[in-house]
Amino acid sequence: MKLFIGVACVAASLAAPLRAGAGEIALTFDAGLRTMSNSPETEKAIFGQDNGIGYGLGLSYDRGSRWRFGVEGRRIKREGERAFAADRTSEAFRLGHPLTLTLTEGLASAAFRFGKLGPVSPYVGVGAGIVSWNEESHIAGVVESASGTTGIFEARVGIERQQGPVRLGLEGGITFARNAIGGGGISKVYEETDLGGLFVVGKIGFSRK
Amino acid sequence: MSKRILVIPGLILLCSGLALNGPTRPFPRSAVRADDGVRVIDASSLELRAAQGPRTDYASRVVVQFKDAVDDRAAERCVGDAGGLRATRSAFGRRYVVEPMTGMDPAGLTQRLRSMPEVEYAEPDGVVHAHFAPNDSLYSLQWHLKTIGAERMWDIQKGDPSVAVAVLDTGVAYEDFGPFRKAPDFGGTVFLPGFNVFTHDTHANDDNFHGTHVASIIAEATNNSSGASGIAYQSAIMPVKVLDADGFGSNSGIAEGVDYVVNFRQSGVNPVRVINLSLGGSTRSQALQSAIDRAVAAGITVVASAGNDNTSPVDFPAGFSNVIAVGSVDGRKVKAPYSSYGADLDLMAPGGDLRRDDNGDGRPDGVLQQTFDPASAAQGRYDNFAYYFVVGTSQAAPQVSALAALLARQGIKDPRAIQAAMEKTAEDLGASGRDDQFGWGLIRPAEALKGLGLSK
Repeated sequence: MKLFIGVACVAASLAAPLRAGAGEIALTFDAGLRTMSNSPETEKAIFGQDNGIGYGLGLSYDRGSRWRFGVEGRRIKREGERAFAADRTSEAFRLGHPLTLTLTEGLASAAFRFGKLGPVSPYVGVGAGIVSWNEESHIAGVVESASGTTGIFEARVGIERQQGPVRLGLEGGITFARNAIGGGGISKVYEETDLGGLFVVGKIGFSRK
Repeated sequence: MSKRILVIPGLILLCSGLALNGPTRPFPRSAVRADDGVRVIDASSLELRAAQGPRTDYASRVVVQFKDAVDDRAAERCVGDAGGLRATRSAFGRRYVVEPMTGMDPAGLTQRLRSMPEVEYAEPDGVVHAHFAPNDSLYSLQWHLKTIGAERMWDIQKGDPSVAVAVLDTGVAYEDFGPFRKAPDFGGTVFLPGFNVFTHDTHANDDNFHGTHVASIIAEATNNSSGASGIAYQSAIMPVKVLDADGFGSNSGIAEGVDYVVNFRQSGVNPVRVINLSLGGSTRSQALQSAIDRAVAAGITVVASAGNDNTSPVDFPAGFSNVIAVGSVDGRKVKAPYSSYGADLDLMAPGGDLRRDDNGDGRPDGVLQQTFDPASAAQGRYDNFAYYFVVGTSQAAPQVSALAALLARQGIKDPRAIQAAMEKTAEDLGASGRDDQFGWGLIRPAEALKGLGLSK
């Protein structure tokens, strides 16, 4: 499912001609893989090999042919298990108690478009906002949870192809959500504090002047 | 077996050699009926329900308290506006339980209710459930199980026969063989082939009483409406006889027993993950240290009693760095007066004090488990079984061994990690942090078995 989304978006983005328009407003949906690679040991201990899948919705405005500004909301859900590690150099053991991490992100973003490069238009961008996270464990019939909110920063690169009002794109980047975790749990053992990491998503948008 | 609770008079052993850490505090022997005043409640149905989860989806509901000035009509309007399907008002106030519309997230419903000026508070309706409590007739007298929070522990983990604890002791009453009889409340307990270092055969029968009591602390048959409860009662026990009928043995004999355990295979796998050593002496032995090193390298957690002399340092093998040294607390979580201490002490468990009755049950605060009458055993009779209150670090160590077996079953494979899980979740007693009187503190099995979340 995760791979399919990525591959489908790449294929779709390469199949359509570019049409960049100043003053366009677009509604964009994105979906893809989101890791917690900024805290690799914590991620491995709790989530193993399972990557998170996130879905987002954004509204953007193209100012001139180069700049794009937008606001985005996103929800990411990851399933793992509670774990234990003796110390930061030790192997982590997963204990079978299901753990769900849910991230809800809100960002303001800006992107710079480089113009056409063959059939696509590459761009770079940044975003900043807040992430609200909730961790929920089920331990033999009892639910334990923890939650918090922290600032988030994102850097991204992508390519986009536009055909008529439809925009298709593929985007990758890295998210930073520092000091979100690390006060307890396995993240404290590994002295890791960042909920962010690398991501790759496919995008589909619908625009109008 | 007639149900009798007996208090074993202090069995004082001079530790000139290697001896079991038996009870050191004499207490007048008394015999009282086991089932007097004990109410038996069948908890098996509760256990089954807990495993299946609640029939009603309590977790999807939201509890909302409206302000006093808000009438019922306004409250119902608020519930509807927030996305509630139906609301049930408490008979005792302006508190409502709200069920969300189909597909609605309870967290979103809670947030919307919280944002309304008419609402005093709103929260998700949490799920609670009955703790598993075994129906063993003497369970209510096992104060040590309450002290370590055994009911919540059993909700999480009860052990499994694929994980075994080797009890290196005076043997265990685990089989009918010659004059020896299997203890009656080992009916459901799984035993692996044993080993007797004195006779070099597989018949590790108890001719003292001590090893049977220790093994019963770990895995006495539980929830069978009879007798007492064991901590890791679904784990298997491997009986290894390394102490003689008087409770004495040698470092070389212990090493022999440890090596037997390390080399044991069943279907190509060694199911023993824990060795319990409720014994000790003052001599540091290279042979024993090497054997224990091999055990730990093989992934086996080794637990030993600190000693009953109220001296420092603790006895060996508890004093070895890769052995978990266990001291004893009484019912108040105060260090038992006999419990040895020192820099090598790691953890505490309830070992009791026969002079006290802190839980007010009219019985001395020893650890109550099945074994046979030592006086009869001295006459060559090993079938006079009863339930005995016994105190000592010998009774504390098997509680830690049982927890180690539960942690191994839960998924922790490394002895160092098992020790760390117990230490980091222990109830800090005495001076803040680790200290020489209490080590890291009193074990909290349920906390250890929970493991760690992402951030909590």
